[in-house]
Amino acid sequence: MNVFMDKLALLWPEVAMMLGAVACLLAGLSSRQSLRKATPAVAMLALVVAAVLVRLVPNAQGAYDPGVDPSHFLGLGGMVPFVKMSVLALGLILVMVASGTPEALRQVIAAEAKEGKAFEPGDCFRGEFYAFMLFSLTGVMLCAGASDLVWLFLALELTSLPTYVMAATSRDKPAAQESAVKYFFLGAMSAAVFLYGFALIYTATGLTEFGPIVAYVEQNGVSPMMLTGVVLAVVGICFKIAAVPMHFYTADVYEGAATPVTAFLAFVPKTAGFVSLIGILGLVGWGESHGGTASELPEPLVYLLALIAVLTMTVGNVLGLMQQRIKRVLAYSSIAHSGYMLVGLLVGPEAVHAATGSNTLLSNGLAAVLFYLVAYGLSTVSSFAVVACMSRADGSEVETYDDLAGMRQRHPFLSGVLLVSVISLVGLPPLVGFLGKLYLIGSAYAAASAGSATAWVYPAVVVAMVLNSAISAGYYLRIAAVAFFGTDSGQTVELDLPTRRWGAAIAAGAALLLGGLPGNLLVESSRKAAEPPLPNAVPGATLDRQNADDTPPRETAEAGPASAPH
Amino acid sequence: MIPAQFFVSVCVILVVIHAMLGATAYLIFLERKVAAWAQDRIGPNRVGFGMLQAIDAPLDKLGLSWLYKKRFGGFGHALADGIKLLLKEDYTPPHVDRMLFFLGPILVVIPALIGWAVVPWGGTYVVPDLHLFGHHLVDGGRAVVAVAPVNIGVVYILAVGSVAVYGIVLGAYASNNKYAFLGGLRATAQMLSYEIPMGICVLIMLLLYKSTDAGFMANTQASDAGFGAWGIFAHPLVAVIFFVCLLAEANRAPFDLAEAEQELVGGFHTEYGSMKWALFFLGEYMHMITGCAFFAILFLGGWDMLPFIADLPIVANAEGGGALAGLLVVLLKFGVFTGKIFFLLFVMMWVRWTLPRFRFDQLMKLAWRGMIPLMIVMLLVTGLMTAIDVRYMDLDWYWYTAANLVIAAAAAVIGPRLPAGPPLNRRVPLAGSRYSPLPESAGGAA
Amino acid sequence: MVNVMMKGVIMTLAESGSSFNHYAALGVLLLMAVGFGVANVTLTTFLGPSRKGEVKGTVYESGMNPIGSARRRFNVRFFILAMTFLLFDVEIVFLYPWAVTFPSLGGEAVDGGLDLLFLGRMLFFVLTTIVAFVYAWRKGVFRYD
Repeated sequence: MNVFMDKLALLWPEVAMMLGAVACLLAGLSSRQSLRKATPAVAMLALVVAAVLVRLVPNAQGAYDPGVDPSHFLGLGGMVPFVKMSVLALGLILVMVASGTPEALRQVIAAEAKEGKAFEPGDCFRGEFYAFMLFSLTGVMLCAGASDLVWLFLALELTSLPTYVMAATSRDKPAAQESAVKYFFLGAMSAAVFLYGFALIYTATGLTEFGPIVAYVEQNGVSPMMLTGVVLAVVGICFKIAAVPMHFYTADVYEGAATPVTAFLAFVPKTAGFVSLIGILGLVGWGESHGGTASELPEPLVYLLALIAVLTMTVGNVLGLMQQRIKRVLAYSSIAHSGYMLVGLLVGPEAVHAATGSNTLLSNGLAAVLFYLVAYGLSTVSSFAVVACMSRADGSEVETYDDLAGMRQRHPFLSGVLLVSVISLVGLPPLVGFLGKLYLIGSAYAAASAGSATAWVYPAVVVAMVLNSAISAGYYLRIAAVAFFGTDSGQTVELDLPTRRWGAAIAAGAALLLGGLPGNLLVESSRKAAEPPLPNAVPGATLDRQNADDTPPRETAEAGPASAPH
Repeated sequence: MIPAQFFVSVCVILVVIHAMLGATAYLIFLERKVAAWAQDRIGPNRVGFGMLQAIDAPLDKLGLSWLYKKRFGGFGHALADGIKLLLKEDYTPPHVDRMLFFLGPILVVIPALIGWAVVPWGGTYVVPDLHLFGHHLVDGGRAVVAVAPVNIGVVYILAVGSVAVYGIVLGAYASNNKYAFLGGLRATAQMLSYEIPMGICVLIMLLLYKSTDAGFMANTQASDAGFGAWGIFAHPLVAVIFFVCLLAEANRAPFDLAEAEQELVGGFHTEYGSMKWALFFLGEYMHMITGCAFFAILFLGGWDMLPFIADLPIVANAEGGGALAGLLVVLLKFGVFTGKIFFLLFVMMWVRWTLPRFRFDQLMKLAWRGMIPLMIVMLLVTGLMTAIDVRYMDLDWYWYTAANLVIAAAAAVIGPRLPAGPPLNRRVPLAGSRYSPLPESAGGAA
Repeated sequence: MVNVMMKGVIMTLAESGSSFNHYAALGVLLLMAVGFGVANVTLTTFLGPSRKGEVKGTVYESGMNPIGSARRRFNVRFFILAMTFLLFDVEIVFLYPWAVTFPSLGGEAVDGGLDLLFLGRMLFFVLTTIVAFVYAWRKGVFRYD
């Protein structure tokens, strides 16, 4: 009908998620208990519907088709449907894992005791819990689709704000509130930092849309103010991915929140952060890939990212080695994995290093990040879910290695799931974690042989990564060893939550399965997703891709914004 | 050279600001008279020129000493009040936040004094070229008889009106007094709550008039070419609700909880005295005047003399009759407008001395559970009707009246059947409770 | 002298552009309003007697000795009320331009069904508010007893 409706059509999955969230909110308020109990099912239904819609809508893939009006293109290109699908799939598992969390709260139990008219919706917040999960997942999907700084900021905030409340209300303990307050204030601070970065980018270019900014940068180069803005944005978003300058909150927050919520925190904000980082870094680098003139990120950014990556993985693993509590161990492990993923971000898309003609399957850094996000998400969610499936005899959460001791005798199924997920986190061969690491290292290797001025960085980072994987094996295998060979402490019981158990099992099963042949399909699809260098896939740049062969680069850059109707 | 509009604007400022300040003083007098009328007594009738004796005015020397005996129906009360308030001790207690304490009354009186700026008092006037001592002073031309005939119009009134709450809150907070604090809280909650239905009412009327310009609205209601009827005929329900919101926004009874003297002494102005207190009072009355003018613009046709008929021929042709005739017509319209305002003010006072005060929960329930849902429904219905009007057929004003009446009837039927929620605040019977036990034989109910 | 100065000020205001005139008059009115408020508050401070005393300086609580300060925490309902107000008020403010534009659209014949699109947007927008309203109602936000 018109541009508005066509643009809206690209967002149907998000609209479905929002409607699902609203349905969750309202279902949680119903005076009928059966309807209230169906809230998680409503959330899962919304996720499935959204996934179907992602497949159905004429998504961003159309942008590569010259027949399609490029002005309808949204955001990061082919990556969008991939990220949306993986977020929805992981979101389904997360909702399964989280089901039963709000129901365990004293306040909700007391409110649920009243039936019919006596039910007091103000005392019960089951609906909000699931609705917030959906809101946060929607935020990640919007981050993936963002093609504008303002949009990106709003999407990031939509991702984060619900998680603060979820952390606060997930447990009856003051620790949960403490963690939420800590998370909220630090999150607000980080938002200020990256918002300031966005503001500086806007100041430097006078633009907020990604496409025109890329065209502007290609024409005028990266000014110091632009670089400062990007650095601030990267540092601010480091909070979301729990990377080094902003990682201090991680262990405390993860420990304070209820374990299913911790699983959520470990995957969802991190995905949002990485997707946003891809968008932001794409503004200053990875452009002009066609015709063989690879442009890397600006040199300071390469060094900064390499430093952050190495520090993050080292800090995460070394501190993880020293922890005694399972959730803290997993929290530091999540920090370390952010470090690994930053390596892929450092490498950038395949095309930058295409000139070397190396093995293309293993040379695309962004595809590696996308794949690794899924791999890491599956493994870490299933390991958190196993911890969440058990409790001590007195009802408190499982905390230390001792609680896990001898799990194999008491909970053989759960210990099997734990073993799979832990080995996947280490990155041992038959599992998806191995594939992810291989892919990251491969891309860094390809970048190292590209022969650019900063090429020496990549081998160093790879060495750090391999060393760190060895360190991490220390605590991961300790978990497995304790669970399988420790003497049974006899303290733990398994909770009667079949959905959560199956959520853990599905995640671990997927980690196992995707390590094999189906994993290659996922690798291939993530590679396809990240195939065209992202910022170049924006409207104006899509056009210069087509006439790049016969026009000098300077002119195409000028033609870019003009040919894109904004 | 001064442009015609600026000249007219300044004239309006000079006339209306004095008229308003004077009217405020006499509105208080009127209020007391209305109260007396409602309660079947005489009311203030003592102070006449006799008060001049008290301040040693030299009337004796002028041979006017007979004036001392005249009371003139007590018309001196307002003047005496003013003098008293100005000369009273202005006590600033030591426990207050001085800065905010002084700022409060000023912030109340400023929006009250500028809120009426967009009110079109008397249509348009064709200003002739004016010369003063040989200087060409004013450019001739057509001008609207208003201070600022800006196109944001009624939105300006709403915006400025809602600023008044800051003064009250600041005054209440600065007082550092529990009564004042409670009064300030109540005033804020009440003003915020009633601003929403009021805003939706304005929105509905905007859909009708297709403009936010106040003068344009009056024209639409006045001329046959425009809408043809006053707003109150098209939207009677909206008019009633808008009037109720006006009462609440001006802190008038039955919504004067913020200064409920039986429970909160003076409410937000407990610690205020002298002229600072008077400024709060002044603000309230000027808000009433502005609110009534607002009501007159939206629902009573502004300066329009009679509904359903176009202007009288003499009025319509006034512009042909030269500057003086134009001025007379402007004055006539001004008089009609003022008459409407005074009628509405009288209704406000009448309501005050007739209805008892609401309880706080009733007040909030009326806004949030009554008027806001009702007005949202009304907005949707009006929106749909406007769409029909735009697309399919022209709807006359009585269609809207019918919609209003249907919705009012539906609300009266559905309202009591809405789920009320469990009663949290159970009524404790006084007699028979544990505080005053009754013997068993008395039945326990009184 | 003052008259000349005033005249100068007014002339400057008046000649600073014809579109500015409306707001120039508003500025004059604003100046008068501020002047009135400040003058009254200042005047009343100087006029009239002034006596101080220890008892006179205490907080007025109908003759009781005050206990504690008035600066204390108050019911969370007022915060919730303020947030709900923001939601609705912002919504209404967004609808004002719509309400002015929408009835002036010409139907399908003139601008290709833009009117229905406008109506649809407004309906969706109001619908979101209605959802929020129902949610708040069920949560007991509007129960003030």
